[in-house]
Amino acid sequence: MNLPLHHMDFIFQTRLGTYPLAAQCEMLAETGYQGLTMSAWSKDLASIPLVKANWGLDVGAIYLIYREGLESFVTNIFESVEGCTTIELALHSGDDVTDLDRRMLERVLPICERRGIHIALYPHARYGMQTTAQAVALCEEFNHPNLSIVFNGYHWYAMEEKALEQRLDAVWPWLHQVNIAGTRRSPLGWGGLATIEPLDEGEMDNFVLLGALERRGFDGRVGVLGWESMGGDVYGNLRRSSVAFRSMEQRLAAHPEWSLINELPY
Amino acid sequence: MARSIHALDSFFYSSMGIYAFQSQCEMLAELGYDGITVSAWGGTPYTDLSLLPGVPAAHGLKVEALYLVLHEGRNDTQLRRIIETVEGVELIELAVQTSINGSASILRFIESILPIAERRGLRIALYPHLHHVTQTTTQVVQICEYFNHPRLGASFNAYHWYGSQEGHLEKRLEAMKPWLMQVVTSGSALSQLGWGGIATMEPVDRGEMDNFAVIAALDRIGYTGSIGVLGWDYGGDIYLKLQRCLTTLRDIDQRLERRPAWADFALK
Repeated sequence: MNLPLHHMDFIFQTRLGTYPLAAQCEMLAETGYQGLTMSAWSKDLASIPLVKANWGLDVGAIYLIYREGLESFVTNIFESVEGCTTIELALHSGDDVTDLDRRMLERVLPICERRGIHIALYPHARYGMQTTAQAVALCEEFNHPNLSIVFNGYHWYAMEEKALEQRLDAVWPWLHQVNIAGTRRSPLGWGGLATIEPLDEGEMDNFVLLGALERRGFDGRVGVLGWESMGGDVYGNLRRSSVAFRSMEQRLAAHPEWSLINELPY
Repeated sequence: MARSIHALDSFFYSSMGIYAFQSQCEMLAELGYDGITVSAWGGTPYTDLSLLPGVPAAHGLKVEALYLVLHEGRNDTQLRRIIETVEGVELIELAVQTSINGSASILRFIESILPIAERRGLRIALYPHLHHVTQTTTQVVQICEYFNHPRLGASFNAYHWYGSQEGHLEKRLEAMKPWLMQVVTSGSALSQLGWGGIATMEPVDRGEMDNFAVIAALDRIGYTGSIGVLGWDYGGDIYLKLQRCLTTLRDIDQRLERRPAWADFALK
């Protein structure tokens, strides 16, 4: 496989503060990552075009949340971003996908066409668009070449969507990239649903997920999710996830059949 | 001292599914485990038991035990049939989860399988399990003493001992010593979020229970058998969890050999 491995910049935003961009990129490069996803609230969006030249990293995407009232902010990101062509878009204008979300997409898709930007819809637990099924329904409704989906293993697991093979089949025509995390269902985890941990921790089996993606021929980039609940030494957590990811890749290359597991009979 | 270390096949169960038995054995062999305990649960195994005799030759692993769960009055016949027919394993670990007719009937079931064990060269180890009818080491030792049969003994499961808060580790192990046939351990911390609302099951390098002290106490009573790793409920990328557990247990062994005095303290 040897897929490009990215990390979301949330991991650098802890309760104690946010690491400067140079420290973020140096750590990512040193621990074996090829890029990062930058959050739309980052103070460093203007520096995106410098990241490749300075640290050899790609900014694979910007992570952006649309809520009612953020129309100008969202539109402005689409109009102004430089050095990055994918926007991971979470939609949270209500308890479900609403017409506000649809209007937002109608407004930014022409900008995407003009500026060569791809939207990857980001299903997010406890948001209006929280399942892969909702994201697939939006992609089918718009059927636009610039609209796609990021499959986020964490949110799939936290939402207990289950039926991994069927969900990946449904997402596959629209799949742009994949995000993963170590995670375990727990009331102490994010949103009272599930923890966010380094890739060598948690109950969700990312080896099985990567195997299912490999069988479908996925060759995009994989982003690792990090959040405050992960805690501790950021560099150490980055390294653990990177080591675990490459270990899973090597095992998949040597033993692809290991990832074919039997469904739970109960 | 190269102690044998095995994994329970429950390692390979997660909310996402169950690994194929062939994959289970290949991973364990590649990582350097010595054996595997296979579950037949209440009589409906997810592993084809006819594969067990081939495991040593195919993978260099010993089938350490077959795990059975008795629901007295419900699955007695199924379990007896498995004990009558299973090949490729010598030790049966038996948990008693529920009972319709009470303790006399549980004892009658155990009595009924002892002649089978004699005839087939099997041993039966009673397995204390939280939230089960027999959940403490005290209870299973009483049953062993009642029968006083050379084919009937007990498993010491450090997780269930810890979770039951029986305490008095040295005393409990001394009481089990004449009957001890198998040992299983886990990382664990008392927690309502853990298994059964009692205690977590984690890799052996985690949790509050000190596996260094537990293994030292097992050494002191002269236990030289295999140590099993529980594996249930960890899930995740199984291979790396297995690797961590084996590394930790080997490291504990080496430390005990190098620094025996570190384990020389009074246990509560």
